[in-house]
Amino acid sequence: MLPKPFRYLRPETLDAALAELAERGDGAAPYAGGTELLLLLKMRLTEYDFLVDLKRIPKLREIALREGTLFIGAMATHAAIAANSDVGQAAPALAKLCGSIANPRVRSSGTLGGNLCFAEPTADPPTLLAALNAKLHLVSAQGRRTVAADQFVTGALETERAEDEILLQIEIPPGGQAAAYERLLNGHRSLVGAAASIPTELNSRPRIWLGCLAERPVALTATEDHIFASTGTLDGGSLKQAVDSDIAKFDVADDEHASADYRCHVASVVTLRTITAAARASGRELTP
Amino acid sequence: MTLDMHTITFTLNNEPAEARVEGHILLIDMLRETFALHGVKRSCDMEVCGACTVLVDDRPVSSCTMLAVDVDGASVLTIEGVGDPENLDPVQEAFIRHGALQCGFCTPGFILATKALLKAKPNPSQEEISHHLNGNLCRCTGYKKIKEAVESLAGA
Repeated sequence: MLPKPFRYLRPETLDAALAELAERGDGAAPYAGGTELLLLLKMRLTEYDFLVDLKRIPKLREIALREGTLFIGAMATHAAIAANSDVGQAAPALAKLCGSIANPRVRSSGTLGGNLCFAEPTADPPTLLAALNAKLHLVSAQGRRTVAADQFVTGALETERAEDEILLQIEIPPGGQAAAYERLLNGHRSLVGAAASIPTELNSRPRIWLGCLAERPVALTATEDHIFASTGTLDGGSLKQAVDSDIAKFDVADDEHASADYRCHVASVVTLRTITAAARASGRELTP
Repeated sequence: MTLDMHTITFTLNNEPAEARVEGHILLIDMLRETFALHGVKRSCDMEVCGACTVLVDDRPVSSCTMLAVDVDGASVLTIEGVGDPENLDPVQEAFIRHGALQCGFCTPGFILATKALLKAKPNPSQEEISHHLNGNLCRCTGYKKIKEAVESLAGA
């Protein structure tokens, strides 16, 4: 199907893009890779009078590693992130995930910033970025602000981003090496996705996040407490109990893809796999 | 609303090209309707099947879910720009040799996806071939022969 006609705007600078968004209000949407927005426009599930293309603003595509902190421009494509050596070094789990999102065509066009701002509930990156304790830098004509990645997605297709704001970049703090992301695919979307970051320093809190159980990623706090309280070897049996007690707290409903029981079972299995992988990356032992 | 016309210039199948398109026109429709390149197939219309695959700057994209204006300044390759009946591309030859097609509807997408893979990675492993082609659907062959065709090109 064809989208309803809109006007395509291609500002060449960030200031020009912000001015367009401020002037057009809710009639305009930022346009990135289009891999999700164009689908909705074609299905006529949403419509805009203006699309403001952000892809040609070079600054928004930059990826840089500065003193251990990784900065990824919001318009960097999944393919560019997957192939970037700084990402591979500082956040290998993110490089691996970006190399396996959807299919090569979506990875060529789709951007990390677009994925985050679209906030599709089965998207993988929001969960991993929450575990990586990433920060998202937003800018509008009024100024700049930073939102924690774990607070950014507020519901299905809803985020903290205001209509006149642009997501500039994603900041990933040092320590991203000891993280992992695992998922179970249902077709080309995740049925469950789990992310774990287990710092090598025992005095730093681990971060365990689960996607697809709710409309936004959720933290497994009892599991985090359990790992934080364990010194040295992690015990697989008590870890599973902690994970299951966390999952039981969420009100998961049956849907067309899975019963609640099945989804929760898969969530437990995938979370334990993820923690095992992150523990290995962190140099921690884990007994079965 | 007045027409939202844009003049775009790009390279199409190795020749300079220019088009006047409205902002909301999809790449697949410009290629099929303005340039009569009917090897670009619309099928799932949601980036899942790969029948509409074209290469933009050597990368595979779904032309059903990209705007025509997005290729302004880029180089676009469709199946019509790959080999010709008297002088087939090695990927086309391999597909024929291995019987990697039946009805042929998905074949332009597979050939272009394979060309992109071999350009980026001239000697892909079986695992890399499967990972890269996961996203092009064929409802006739069962993929075995397609993979054999691509494997025969690895390191060539």
